[in-house]
Amino acid sequence: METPELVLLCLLMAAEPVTCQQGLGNLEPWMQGLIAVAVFLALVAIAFAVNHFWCQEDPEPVTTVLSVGAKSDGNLAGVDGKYSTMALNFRSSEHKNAYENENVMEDIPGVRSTPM
Amino acid sequence: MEQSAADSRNFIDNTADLIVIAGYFLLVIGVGLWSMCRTNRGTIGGYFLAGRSMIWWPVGASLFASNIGSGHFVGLAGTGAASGLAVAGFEWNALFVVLLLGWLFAPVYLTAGVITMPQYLRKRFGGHRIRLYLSVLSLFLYIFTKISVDLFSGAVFIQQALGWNIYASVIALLGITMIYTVTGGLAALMYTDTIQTSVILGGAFILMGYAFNEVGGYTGLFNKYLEAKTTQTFSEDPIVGNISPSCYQPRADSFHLLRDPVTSDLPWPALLVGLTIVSGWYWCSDQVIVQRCLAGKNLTHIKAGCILCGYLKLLPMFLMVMPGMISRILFPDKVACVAPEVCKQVCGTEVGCSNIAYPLLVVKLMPNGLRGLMLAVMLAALMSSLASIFNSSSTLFTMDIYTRLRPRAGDKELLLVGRLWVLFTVAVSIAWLPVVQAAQGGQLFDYIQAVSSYLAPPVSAVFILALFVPRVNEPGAFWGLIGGLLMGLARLIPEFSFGTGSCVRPSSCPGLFCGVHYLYFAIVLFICSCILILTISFCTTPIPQKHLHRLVFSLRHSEEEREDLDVDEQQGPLFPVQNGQLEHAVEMDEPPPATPGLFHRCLLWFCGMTGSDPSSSSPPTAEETRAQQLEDITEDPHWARFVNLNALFMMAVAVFLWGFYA
Repeated sequence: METPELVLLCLLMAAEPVTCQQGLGNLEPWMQGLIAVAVFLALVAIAFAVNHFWCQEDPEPVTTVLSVGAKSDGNLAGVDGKYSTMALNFRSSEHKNAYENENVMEDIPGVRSTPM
Repeated sequence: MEQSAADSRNFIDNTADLIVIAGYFLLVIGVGLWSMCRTNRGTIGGYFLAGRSMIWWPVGASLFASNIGSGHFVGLAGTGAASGLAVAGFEWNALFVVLLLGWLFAPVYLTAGVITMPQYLRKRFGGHRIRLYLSVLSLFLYIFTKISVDLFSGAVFIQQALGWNIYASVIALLGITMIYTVTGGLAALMYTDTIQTSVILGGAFILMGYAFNEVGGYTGLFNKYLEAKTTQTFSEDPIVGNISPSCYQPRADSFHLLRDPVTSDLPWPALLVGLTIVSGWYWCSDQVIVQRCLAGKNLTHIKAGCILCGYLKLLPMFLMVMPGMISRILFPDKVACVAPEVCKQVCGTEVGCSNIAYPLLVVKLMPNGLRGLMLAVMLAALMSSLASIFNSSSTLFTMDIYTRLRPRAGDKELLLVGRLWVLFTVAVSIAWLPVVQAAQGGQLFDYIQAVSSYLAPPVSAVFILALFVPRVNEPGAFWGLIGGLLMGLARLIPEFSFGTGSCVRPSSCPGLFCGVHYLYFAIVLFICSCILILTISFCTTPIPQKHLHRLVFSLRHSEEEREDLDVDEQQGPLFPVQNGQLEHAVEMDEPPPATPGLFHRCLLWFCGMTGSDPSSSSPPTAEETRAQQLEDITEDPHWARFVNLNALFMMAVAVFLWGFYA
């Protein structure tokens, strides 16, 4: 008496569920979704990295002093002195050939100087 | 139409339904009154911007409720029934754009310290013509896309479900909406919007449950949809005759969001790019939405509100589009009718009856009591979006047009004019109703999108360039807007004069004008407007940077003093008496007016104009100084990070769903 129902149940279990919603190509829909999320997160990570490494505001330029030809190295006439990268900032905004008159040496310990 | 009205005339006349509807109205009016008593609505900032004191969930709920109108229930479900899932892409595109609003646009609007969007353009560019043009265009778009479509779809629903007299019910609806719009201002609106959102979602979820139960669950929908077609495929009209199967069979790509870029009804590049442009106008530079954002307490609350709205925007696919498709499965002869005379008999229009998909589900599936709830849902959607549009259009008219006509108007006069304008808009909407009804309401959602695609892209181009390119100046923006308008009209006018046509009777519009998909046209229009704006801007003198601090995105954190370009206007109301008129001013000193009569006082209280006279220049109250501080956009870094992560999560969920239904 129960046999027809059982057979029917077995048949139903064996039959492939009909899936009309097919993905693009051979992918399952949820797989497409996961791939899309993965791609999206990768793009976000790239954007974040780009922003972090390249687009952050540059810190204030620090005065770096290079000692060129110290006294102990021997007497190299004409090359003795200090080179400050802050000299790059001397350029005035008023004219392309104008320079600001700043006293850089003030900040460097052990160097005494007077402005101009 | 008469027949369908007749057999559905007595659907809502039992006690359970009536109790639910009455309860709903009491709830809405109660919340409206409560928020009226609670909030300050006697000042410009209080009435139009809710005192800038809203926390995140009213902001998010209000964004959602003013976006979702009855047009969505009818239009999304109808287009879903006609052509499958893809229409949900409209909603799922918007949830990315609403994040753009919170993260890129709102900070600049806040620091600019503006109330309306035309006012922002005035500050950014100077000159009056752009401001006037944008106000008029916005008001035009409100009446011809938003208000008319919402009223039409509300009317479709009422006709299908109730068989009531449309004019009586629409006038009653508008009356109730008007009460809390006119009296309460934005704060009352946003609190009632929160209630409306929960009613909309609750009712729509229940209907979705019934619909899926009827069709055999989620798999049932996907198994049966492609076979849902009408049996009456022969028209008695000899010109039409036998209708080709492509007109009545469901599309083969019904279950895909992303469709073929050339031949399909909604090509994927158009959906991803063109729609983003149109949504950019709707969500980022339109008064209705932005005003809700500006009412937020601070930037973090605004962002959180945008995220909430984004999550809610995930739902329409399941709450509206899928039930619409189910409706087609259950009632193929009605919803998917194809022969013109059959359609005419079913729903009164010849081009198709997909618009009745959602109302039909409500009428046929829901038991007593729940039908009343669904009516409340539709009313909630209709009223909340209409109220938003009324409030925003009154804001636009008052702040941008009326102040131009009468520069010396005091605050009290402005508030009064704002309320009178709402009355006027309501009158125009009612007068417009017969036109909307007579118009062929084929696929409603497409109609809104088409009109917006022809008119909105120049506006979004101007806003995006104004925010991100400081070099853009006034002539560029103005001529860009005008050139874009002319191009848009060149497409709009032929298309509407030839008629949109249907599958059975194609429109005779030549392919040169109407062949391009409207979203592709939006892309072209946007690019042309951008080129026009940039070319003219680079050929004319730039705006000095001293006028732009905190008005463009790159300078939003700038601390410099800004020399406002609209400085003449700001000083107008402050010095109402110019030199030469001073003598008269002394004579015009009136004795304090007599105490107004009882009725007058009641009216004033109702409109929230009692208490201290708002037009008198009182010293800034605590609230005003707080509003001043709100122009700064600093955020608590901890909460800012929390909100950012949440946005990322929401986008990941949305991207998953896009992939799932691609």
